[in-house]
Amino acid sequence: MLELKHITKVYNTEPRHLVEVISDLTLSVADGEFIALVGPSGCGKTTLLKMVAGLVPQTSGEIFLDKQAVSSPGKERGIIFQNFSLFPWLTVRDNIAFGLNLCKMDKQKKETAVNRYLRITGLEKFASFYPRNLSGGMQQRVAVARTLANNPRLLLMDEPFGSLDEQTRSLMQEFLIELWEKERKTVIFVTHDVREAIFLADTVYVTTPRPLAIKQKFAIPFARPRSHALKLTKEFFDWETRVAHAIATDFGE
Amino acid sequence: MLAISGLVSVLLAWSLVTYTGFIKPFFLPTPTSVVSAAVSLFVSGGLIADASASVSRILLGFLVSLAISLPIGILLGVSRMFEAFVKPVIAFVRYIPPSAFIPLAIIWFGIGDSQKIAILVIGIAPYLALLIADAAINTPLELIDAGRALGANRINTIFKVILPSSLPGIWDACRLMIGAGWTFVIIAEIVGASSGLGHLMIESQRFLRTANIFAAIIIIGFLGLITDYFFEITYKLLFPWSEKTHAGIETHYKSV
Ligand SMILES: Nc1ncnc2c1ncn2[C@@H]1O[C@H](COP(=O)(O)OP(=O)(O)O)[C@@H](O)[C@H]1O
Ligand SMILES: [Mg+2]
Repeated sequence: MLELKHITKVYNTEPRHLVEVISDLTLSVADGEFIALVGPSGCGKTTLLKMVAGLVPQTSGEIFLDKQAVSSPGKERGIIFQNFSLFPWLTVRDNIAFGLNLCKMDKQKKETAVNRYLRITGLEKFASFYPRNLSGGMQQRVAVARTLANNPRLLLMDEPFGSLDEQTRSLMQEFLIELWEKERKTVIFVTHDVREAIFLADTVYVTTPRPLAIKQKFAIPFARPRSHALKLTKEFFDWETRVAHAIATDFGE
Repeated sequence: MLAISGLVSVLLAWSLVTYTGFIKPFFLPTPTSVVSAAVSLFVSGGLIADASASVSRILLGFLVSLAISLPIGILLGVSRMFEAFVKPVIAFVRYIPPSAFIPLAIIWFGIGDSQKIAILVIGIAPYLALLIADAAINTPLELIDAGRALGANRINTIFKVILPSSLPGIWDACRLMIGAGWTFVIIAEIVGASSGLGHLMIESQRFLRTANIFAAIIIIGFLGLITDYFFEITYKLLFPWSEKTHAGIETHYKSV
């Protein structure tokens, strides 16, 4: 279980100019739960994920993963960035192996793990390619495989499909949902695409503009496994309207 | 093609002003007399001996500089504290022309190879360290974050993220500073040496052998071309992943 307790983040930008990005955020995510955060850009979503990843310290408040306080990066928490962030000097295979190569591990085991994620992400044929020679969708699959190879319990995804074209994005959503239905990791998925959030998540949180706080919580009841046909149903459309309405309305209305 | 025609037009202009007698051979010898001077220097073995003396000084001076500058440059790139400590020293040394150290270097090291190496290191190392630091600082922050999230500690981050990310930049810095090495070695050899192309030139000047000076200058030019070519080829071989390996606006337009 992941627990965020009264998280506040203040960036100290120019001298004596403080920007409060996150304000008193409390949130808990159950094991194996897939949550989506939907909010306007610039509201602090990336900052929040980086804090959970241990890459950025919070100003106040506490983050616990299974009762353990989070204060630095750890392998049990994997993050996938918006613009892939692959190591351009490593091939697809070596990118995926990056985390495994950092720990003392049996060579054979390493090889097996890397091959497994090459297969899962359908990248076997591209194992010796450099990232620059891959399409955006493939690069993002490498990023997913690289993070999964580390076997994290918690997966943090920061608008991972935001820069992909519509068709590739649909394919990636399907790929992710299949993967998740198999592995059942805890996922925090950040997006500004309402349909994507409803299609993927168990719980959708709509957040406020800066400073980030939870505005409304939606438990999405659709059964799993989910397929793309779901997106065409009236119920899906109703949920979309409901969530979109929550985003559009101001506080106090 | 364009590269060759550039050199050819210089050669044409040179031929025009010398063969017509417009400029006296004492000031500017004809291309043929420069070639024959180069050939006779080559046959006597003097040219090869002097050229290899200069080249080996540059190589050695450069390698010593790299050994000093690489750790300092990377540390400068990753540590604010180290930067605050070392940068003023580098800035101070950098603004003193290396030639100003020649008298001191002669007192300390005599006029042998070690003095030339010292001048080369004083000339190259500070710039090289700053260029390497620049390459290290330019490592995208998100790659450092990605590495840390995948389990990289401080040392891993330096060796597995920052260093590989900055290698192309470091390679370019090496190319630049080896070129600058010629400036320092020739100055040092002109002031006091018993071998090297700089020594060949100052000797030739003493005996008014202008064609020999030109022969030496042209040899330096050719060695420079070869060096540049070497770095260009190795860059593409070593960094096939780099965007720059495939860059160039013209080639881009052709492929579109
Ligand atoms: N390192 C930083 N220093 C100062 N301000 C920052 C920093 N990172 C982000 N910000 C600011 O914090 C706000 C939220 O950024 P971010 O978390 O990236 O939002 P989102 O991901 O929701 O678009 C933005 O206004 C941004 O300018
Ligand atoms: Mg963001």
